[in-house]
Amino acid sequence: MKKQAYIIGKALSCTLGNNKDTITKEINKLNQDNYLSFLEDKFKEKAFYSIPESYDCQKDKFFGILRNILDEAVKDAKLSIEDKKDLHIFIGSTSMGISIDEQTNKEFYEKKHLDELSHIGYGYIGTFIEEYLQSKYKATIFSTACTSSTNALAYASKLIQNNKIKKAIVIGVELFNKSTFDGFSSLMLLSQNKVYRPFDEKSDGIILGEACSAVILDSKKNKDTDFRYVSSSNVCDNYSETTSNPTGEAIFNCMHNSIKNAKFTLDDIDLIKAHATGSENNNSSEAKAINLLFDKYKTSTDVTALKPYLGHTLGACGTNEIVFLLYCIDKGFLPATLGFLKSEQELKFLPLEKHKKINHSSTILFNFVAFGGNNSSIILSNKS
Amino acid sequence: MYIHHTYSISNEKQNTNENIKVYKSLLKEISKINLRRSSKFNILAVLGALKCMKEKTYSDNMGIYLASEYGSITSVKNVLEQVSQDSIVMPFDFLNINSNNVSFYVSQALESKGKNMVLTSHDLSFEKALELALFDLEIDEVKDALIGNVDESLDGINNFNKYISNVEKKPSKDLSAWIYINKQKDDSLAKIETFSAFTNINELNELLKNTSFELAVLNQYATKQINDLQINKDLVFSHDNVHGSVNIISMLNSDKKSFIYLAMDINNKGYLVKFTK
Repeated sequence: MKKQAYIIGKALSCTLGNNKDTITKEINKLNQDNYLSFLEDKFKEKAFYSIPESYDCQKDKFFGILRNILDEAVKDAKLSIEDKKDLHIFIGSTSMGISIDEQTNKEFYEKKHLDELSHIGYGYIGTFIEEYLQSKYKATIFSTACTSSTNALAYASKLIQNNKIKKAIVIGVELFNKSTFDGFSSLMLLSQNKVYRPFDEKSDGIILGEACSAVILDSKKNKDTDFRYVSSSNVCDNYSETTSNPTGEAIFNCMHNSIKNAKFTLDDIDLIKAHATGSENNNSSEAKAINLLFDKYKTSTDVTALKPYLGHTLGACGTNEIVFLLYCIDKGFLPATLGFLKSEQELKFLPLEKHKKINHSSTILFNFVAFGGNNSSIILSNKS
Repeated sequence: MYIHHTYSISNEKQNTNENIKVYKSLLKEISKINLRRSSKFNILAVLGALKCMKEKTYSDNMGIYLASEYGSITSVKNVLEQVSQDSIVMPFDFLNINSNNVSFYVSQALESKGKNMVLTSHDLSFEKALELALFDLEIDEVKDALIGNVDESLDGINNFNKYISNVEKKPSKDLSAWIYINKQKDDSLAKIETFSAFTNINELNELLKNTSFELAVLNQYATKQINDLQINKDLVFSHDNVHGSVNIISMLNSDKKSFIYLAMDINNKGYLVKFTK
């Protein structure tokens, strides 16, 4: 018999803060009217959603943030020292620890450092977490671009459901680095207007961000409001290395499969959390996919997008946006899609204009889209 | 689960640290895929996967699991140097460091419609990818699985042994080794009888006590710990390769009917896999 996989602990460090109360308080302050001044204030230095804390060096920043997130998640899940040892570790990231290598390499060329690299490969991140948590198990690192931590979460959940493992921690980490920032710039994917506007006619690109998060999964729940993994789907399409099939078909199939796998209909879904990177291709193909989904089920549901709050945190956006939204639901609301005013194309949905009050239970379809044609959807619920 | 096809570039080429042009020309012989601006890492992966699956049939729902210890390290180093020297990061260089592009190209070359994943697990990347592939097969998430182990030689990086686990300081070679598995026994090369994880040497010795075999291959850390293992040393197959995938493929070519592959990391965590023919 299949088990359940419950989210019993979570932690998030992002541009809005590093704990549930601070982050949700900041979200609640934001609305369509003060969004532009919020961004103006945030982007004084550059159009990037930064974590506000400062560190002496990139290595301190990377491992400092990671340690805090691990500690907070473990504390939130009320794990004992013995429980921690039983955690299987799953990690998702796009840029991994490249910020540390950038600093080492720069210092090497400035003759301040003997080594040109800090590491080769990123397995060391897994070993660090294994040793920090004293876990008995070997960490798995997923590198599927923007779906990395979503795929990590889906695998961890399914392994618990199928009784292969009992407990897991899933970590998403994405910190500022010039390689990624300049790389996205070279692909001309970054917003020039410096305003995140998902699905909006004035949307002109991506704004990157940094954040780190973790969720702890267990086959037993801690409290009645704990969310459980319901189903997921991963659909890879070979249309293009960097863009989705513009028909929206692959993204539709991914969301549809996750609803089918849950044995749900769209009526069971209270909210779709769209990927909504703000790129022209993603805006258009994901909008078409949601339109197709609403046509298929002859109904609709609420839609929102979270990148206007966090920025696009790439491989970590899965766990980052999941923890972010679960924080909001804990506080009794669904966050608005800031920056959306009017769509360029015909939408069969209107992204949430204002924060919406709800009771503390919900079923959410989270949708994510990645380079390399890797699409992932995941359904979480805390309804009985 | 049954192994049906395998391929290792080291079985084909004696000098397994070639210029990208050599691999591009080998790829051109078997595929029309355009990887003109792509990295050696991507070319190696696509070449190995295509060679493994050449003229073979596979399902519409084949999962592709690509394991790599170092990822696209040559491209990463290029981009790091561009950033260090405040040069512009070129679009193709950036795309080449986006490591899941490698599985995208493999999937595209094979016209596969199933999932593809890029995975790393310190010193046990291939073993971890195999573990997830076996799990997906078991729960029918995929019908068949192609598991690849791809890494570039690190010869282009000064003092590369400083950064990696190379216990016996073996030469760093280009690697593209692939194993195709499904649930069908017919025409298979071997069966994966058991795939067991262990978290310390005691657990491993318990597993070894209950496992019969005619031949064993040990990875570098297991070789280092051999005196602590309850294993008949006469049955240990000696090899000069640090990569598990290549060693498994070598064992499949032996005349033995049952064999084990034992891989562990620096903290004595790892996997014991038993195969029969």
